[in-house]
Amino acid sequence: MLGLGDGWVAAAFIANIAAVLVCVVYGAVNWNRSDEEDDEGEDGQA
Amino acid sequence: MNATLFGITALVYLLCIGWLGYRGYRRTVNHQDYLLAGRSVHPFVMAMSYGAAFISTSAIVGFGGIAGQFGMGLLWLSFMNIAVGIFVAFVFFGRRTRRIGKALDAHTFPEFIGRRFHSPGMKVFIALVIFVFMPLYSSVVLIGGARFLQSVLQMDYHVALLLFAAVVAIYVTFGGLKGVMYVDALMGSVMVLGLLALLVMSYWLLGGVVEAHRELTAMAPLVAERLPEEAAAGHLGWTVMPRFHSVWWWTLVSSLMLGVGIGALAQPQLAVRFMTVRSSRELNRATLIGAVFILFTVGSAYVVGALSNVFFYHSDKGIAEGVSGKLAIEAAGGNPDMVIPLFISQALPEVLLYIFALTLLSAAMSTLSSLFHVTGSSIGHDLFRTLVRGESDSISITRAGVVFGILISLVLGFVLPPGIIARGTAIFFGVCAAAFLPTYVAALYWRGATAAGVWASMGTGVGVSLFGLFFLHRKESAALGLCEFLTGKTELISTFPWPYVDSMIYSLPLAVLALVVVSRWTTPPPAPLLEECFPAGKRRAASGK
Repeated sequence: MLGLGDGWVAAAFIANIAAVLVCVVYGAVNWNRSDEEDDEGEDGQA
Repeated sequence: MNATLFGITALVYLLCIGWLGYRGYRRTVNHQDYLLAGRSVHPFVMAMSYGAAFISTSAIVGFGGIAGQFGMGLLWLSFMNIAVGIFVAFVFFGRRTRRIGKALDAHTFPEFIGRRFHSPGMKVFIALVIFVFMPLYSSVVLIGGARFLQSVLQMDYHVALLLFAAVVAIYVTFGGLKGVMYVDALMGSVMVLGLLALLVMSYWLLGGVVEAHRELTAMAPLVAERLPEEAAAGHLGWTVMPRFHSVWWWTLVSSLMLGVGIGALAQPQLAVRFMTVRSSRELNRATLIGAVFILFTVGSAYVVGALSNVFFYHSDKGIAEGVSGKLAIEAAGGNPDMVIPLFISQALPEVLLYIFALTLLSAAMSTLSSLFHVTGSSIGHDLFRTLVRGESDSISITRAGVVFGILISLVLGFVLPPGIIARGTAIFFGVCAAAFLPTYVAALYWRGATAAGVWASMGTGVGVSLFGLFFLHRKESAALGLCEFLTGKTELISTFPWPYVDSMIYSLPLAVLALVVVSRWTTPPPAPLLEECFPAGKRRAASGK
């Protein structure tokens, strides 16, 4: 796969991209979300 | 590379750094500004600063060179850096660190743990661990930066060491964490640009992603033929994992994937950044930015390091005499640290050389500034103010601590033998992970953790780590020499795989065990303190006893 010689290295290659995608989706979905306790503690700043 | 042209480029870059440091200085009016950047840092600045502090020159040049020698198995480390160092750190550690840190009015990692467990002595102990071990790591980064300046500008090494330390010292001392984080954001951006350009250029030079990988895969038979030592250590090719249960397999899995990958969670200079943002919203945004940063920096370095073999072996265009037809590690004269610099100097157009030189300089300076700041705040804020000056303010005491910490690192850079200095990173990571990680997790998630349990865990973590480093793990025990002095052998247990198993593999579980066992038998922290740390809505999640 991808010209790589071993499934484990191909998996590492894909896992890097997948991990970034998870972080990107998480960050995008929660872009404006703040925890309840943050809002309480920030005097309206959060 | 033209040294004069690079000197001018570096001077312009230093002026930008000076301006950002001055901005930090002007905006620093109290110790919260100096230690936590006023708890109001922009998520982009926070993410880039976290990444730039996380990724040093050794991660790019050192591990990139190891990828050139041993191949792309190292991509599991960059996966750990993203999955654990960013996602787990920001989502599971960052939010609670920020909230609890603010509730307890903590300004540093030692203060955070000390207040969470209602123990000023614990704050002093953690500050002492940082004070003793962090300058070792700082001196490694400092020496790396000075060596780089020495080679690029052809200047005397000692002058380079002083110059490099002085530049970082000025903006850390005066700008505080605001200055450090503003400068880090600039440096992080340069690092992403430089390493992304390197990755794209490398794939382009080698015919595309799949074609480059295929060429590298086809070179696997050369390992046995040309690299007998690496083959004996388990190296089977640059696009396959090492042989299971071989020397290189144990090094990759235990020291790099687990030791470095998990150890990053417990580094005080990274943990303190979670307390610099206004709310968890900023951390959510920073998760996205930080992950992209890590992929484009270390991910690029590891891929490029491995692919440099194809370039050196096959390409005959523009290659310096004596390099073409060789494997990367052969071309670098057997020194993995030279693989990436050599590849860059041979493969890239000259304009990218300057960008990449600034990239390496940025990686070293950003990590070093974070280490100096944390060491200084531990000395000034946590140790001196606690032991000598009580609760008196402050910025000047912390600044004095920063200067003192820088001087210690500088002296270590001058006087310690290279063998010990080179192992400084491993010692720092090993001790931090075993000493702080169980305590840090318990501080965030376990109401039942007691101060006695945390003392037992930290004591076990530090003790077992040091025992492993001095007596079991060959790389450190041979360099430190104490085991050989006492027993005549470089390590106590020579049976494979023990000389190659990272000390964190056994010190971390033992530290967790000590925490759980002692906490179960001792009195929990006072209820009002727990109520402050774990508000009612979150109590169920934190309940553990």
